[in-house]
Amino acid sequence: MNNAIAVTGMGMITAIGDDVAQNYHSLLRKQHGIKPLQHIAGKHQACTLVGEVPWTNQELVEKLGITVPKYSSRTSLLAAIAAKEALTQAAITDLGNIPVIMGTSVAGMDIFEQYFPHLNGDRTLIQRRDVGDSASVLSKLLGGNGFATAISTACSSAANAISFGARLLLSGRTERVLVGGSDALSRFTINGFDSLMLLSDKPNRPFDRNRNGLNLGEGAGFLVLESAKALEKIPKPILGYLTGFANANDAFHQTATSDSGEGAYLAMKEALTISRLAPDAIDYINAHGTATENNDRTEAMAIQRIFGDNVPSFSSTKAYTGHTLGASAGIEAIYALLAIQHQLAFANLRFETAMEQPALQPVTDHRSSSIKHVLSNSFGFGGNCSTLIFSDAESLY
Amino acid sequence: MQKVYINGSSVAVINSAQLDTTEQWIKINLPKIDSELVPPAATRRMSKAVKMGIICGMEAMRQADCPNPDGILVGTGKGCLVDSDKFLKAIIEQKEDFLSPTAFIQSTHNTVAGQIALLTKNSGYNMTYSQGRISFESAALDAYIQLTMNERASLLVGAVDELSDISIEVNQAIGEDQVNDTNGIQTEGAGFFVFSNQKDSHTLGELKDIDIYRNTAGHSSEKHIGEFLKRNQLTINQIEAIIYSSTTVEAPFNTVSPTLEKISKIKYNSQTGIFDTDIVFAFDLALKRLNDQTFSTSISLNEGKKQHDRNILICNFGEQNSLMLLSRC
Amino acid sequence: MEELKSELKAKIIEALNLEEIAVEDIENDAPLFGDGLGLDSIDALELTVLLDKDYGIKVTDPKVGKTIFQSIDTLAHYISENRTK
Repeated sequence: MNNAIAVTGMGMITAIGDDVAQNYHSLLRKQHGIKPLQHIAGKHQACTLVGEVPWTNQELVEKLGITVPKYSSRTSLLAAIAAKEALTQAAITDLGNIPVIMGTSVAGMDIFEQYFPHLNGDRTLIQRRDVGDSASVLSKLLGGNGFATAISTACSSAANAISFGARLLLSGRTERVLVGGSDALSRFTINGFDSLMLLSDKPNRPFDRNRNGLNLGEGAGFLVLESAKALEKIPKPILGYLTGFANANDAFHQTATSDSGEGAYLAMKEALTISRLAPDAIDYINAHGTATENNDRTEAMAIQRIFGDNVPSFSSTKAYTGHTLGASAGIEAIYALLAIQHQLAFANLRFETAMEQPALQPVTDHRSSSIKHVLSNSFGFGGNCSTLIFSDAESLY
Repeated sequence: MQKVYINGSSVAVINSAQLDTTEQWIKINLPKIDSELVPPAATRRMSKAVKMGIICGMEAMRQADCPNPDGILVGTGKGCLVDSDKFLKAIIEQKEDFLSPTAFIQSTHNTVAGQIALLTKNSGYNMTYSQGRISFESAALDAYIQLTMNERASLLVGAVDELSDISIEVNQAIGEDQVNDTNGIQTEGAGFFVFSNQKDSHTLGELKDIDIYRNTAGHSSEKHIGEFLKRNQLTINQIEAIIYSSTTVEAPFNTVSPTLEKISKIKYNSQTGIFDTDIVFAFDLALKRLNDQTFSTSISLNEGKKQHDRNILICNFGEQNSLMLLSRC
Repeated sequence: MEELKSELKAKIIEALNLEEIAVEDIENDAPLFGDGLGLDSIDALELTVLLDKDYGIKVTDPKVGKTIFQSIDTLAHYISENRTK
């Protein structure tokens, strides 16, 4: 299959682990990372529950082990740590002109807002806020000199970055691409979601009837995607394939999704079409599942529209990490690949009672079964709905 | 591989007469949105960026007679800056209390693409790129790939950037010596185009190719342009004009090469001032020249020889560079 | 009470950017959402902020909000009974 898009590297950092192995072990032990906010001073510190990466920026720089430019944002540092792990796994020592496609919602807002409006008299800080700055900073941090661009479609950003990377490979313009997403917690987003009354005062409970909102999180997840041509030249272990990717718009409301979950339905349907898989081939769904009233109800509705009476095992891992916004689809892409690798559907924490309509029941305990194809959903403000499908290495041939 | 045609084009930039000033920031005068097009209830929360996007986006779709494209792609360097600044300022001033959610909702980068989708009930592909001065080209590259691979047939592709009073104040406070790193008046604007892999009576030109790259030690822009033309089976002699922008100290043309000398080179920022996605003006200008349209501008559009093969190269030189090749069809 | 009602109307027009609407255009008993003034869920959030900021009333349950925000009459009534500033 010439058009195969292989995943050869993955890297991540979240509230439940500094790398892929740590994340997997936390998932296995059902250890979540939802705790009172630590690093951001102000009204929300020590009370608002978030999925925060436990390290300070200085500690992140030390972990990274390279010199970083002045006023490097936390978003860039998290991205660099995750991207470095992905490149190492793919045995890419020199990024060179490999394109970097990064999803982020607020980029370097975390550092910009600390100095706003005086900015310490330094223009660098203005750039740090630019979404695109973090993609080019990332490319340069890793020693790259290729095309770098950023996608910002709120909470689906990383899924769309992964899809664009796939299209670059399919077009033959490049044979390798580094894709993913990163978002650091910021006063801007915490207060924003608070003003929308979407934050829960308890650890979030995706798909539960008594869910009452989300916990924000932070982190980064990156993948190395390679074409068949690249792998012919340099064969390497394949972690899985990206077989389906799609984006559609709900065209219903700025922040809420339509009752029928139209955008989500269209995204899942198109991703299935591209992957040439029937719905019953999907073994596990890593849902968007933010635990807001609106998202979980409409997403479940869309899932039911696609899968009918045969809804596969599904869960939301946001109960572990919190909602990491523009990074979430990058992080959850890796969880999808881990599900395939370990033949395990991850438990949806804190679920007790099914919703009234539709009364779908997520996986409440890790479920071991044959997992060949995993579907991962990510939806954002502005009606932006994206779906990725990952498949195991054997099923393609 | 399918070809990519441009079937509609609408651009909003400042009036070039406004540039005759000592001001460093100039805003665009935007007409009121026709209430038949968009109901007033829908426009009440819209920032200028969203309004510019809607005006240009709707006009490009009207021109192309393409009311429901397969998707909407937007590039924006700074996103919805006014609402983002407004929310940020409120957080600081109100000490995180009593924050109004409207500005936060509207601050998201994909507000423009989302609002156009909402207004036109477009449930297709919806994408927003934000990468400084190559934001429009990022969106255009995505669209180009999808159309050539026949994944979609028509896409609305555009870009928008707005100025914000709060950001202007913050910039001014930083100090004169640091204010102007791009040597020009900062402005705002938008441009939207209908890209299609179907040629029809509305077709204004063909987007033959697009590339985005960074300069490396052994690889200058001049070399890159040569390779870009070669892969399109063209020589520099078949290019009738180069429309370009450069934020690097020296544009590659300053080192005059004999081959480039004969070609008319138009640096368009004297017309538009500078905003991250001002390249949309060059895109529109190239389409106008390819269709021999005359219009009032101090840029001499028709200098240089016209050729049988009508090809225009649009170049954007900066931290990253882009090349776009537009041809008459 | 009448004074509070016209004060509310002016505040709503300002907070929700209802540029084309004047205080006189809003009937005391007309629905604010849906067919009446045509407000939506984002406006409901803005009204929640307004109640908190100007009258010291915290509405955390959206269901409570729904009953309070029916009309100027219901809103003024709730404010006069529950205001802390």
